[in-house]
Amino acid sequence: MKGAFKRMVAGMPIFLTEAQGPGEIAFSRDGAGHLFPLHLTPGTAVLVREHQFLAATGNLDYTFNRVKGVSNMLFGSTGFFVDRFSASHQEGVLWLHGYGNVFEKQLAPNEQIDIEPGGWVYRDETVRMEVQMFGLKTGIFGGGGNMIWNRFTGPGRVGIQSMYLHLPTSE
Amino acid sequence: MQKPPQLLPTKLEDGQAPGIRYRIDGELVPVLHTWLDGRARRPTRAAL
Repeated sequence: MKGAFKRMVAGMPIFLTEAQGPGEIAFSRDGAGHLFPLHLTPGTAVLVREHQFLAATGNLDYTFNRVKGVSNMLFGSTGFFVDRFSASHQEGVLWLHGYGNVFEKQLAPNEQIDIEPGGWVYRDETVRMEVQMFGLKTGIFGGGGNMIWNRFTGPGRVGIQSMYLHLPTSE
Repeated sequence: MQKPPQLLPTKLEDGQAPGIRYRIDGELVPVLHTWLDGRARRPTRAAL
């Protein structure tokens, strides 16, 4: 999978198992949840939150981006990764894992949905994501603090998981 | 009125793509079974 080496250079460990047919091979994750496929046609790409990836056909291209800034507050670390998978010349399949169940929202152009930061699993590259942060100074949160969510704007798909588990990273 | 998010299928019997067939089965911890015909490039798995 092209692009994985870049991630190793960035300091993240990557363990990659390759299989070549003919034959059968099975995969699962070590957590209760939901497995689902995303078929990528040539010229399309999908952005995937870190730790959601299970498997992909070898004809997909891979790269990643590191999200910093406000996300620091979300996870108590220095950021998190968003993986990008794309198909260039041939249809490919990406299999992802979400905790709990996974729902998909199809956004029309300029349609928006707000999702708790731990809730999204994937989005089409055509979907824009912005962080919304509100300071809380009154009410039951009288001690202050911030309420944060992500705002997604279509067109495109957004995957949402019903349960959130943030795996510890080495940072 | 906006359409609410839709639950994705939890099972899949006969998924296909060039060079590969697959099935997703199981309840709590689902399993992805793949059958490779040897013509496609490799499926890959990584802990990212």
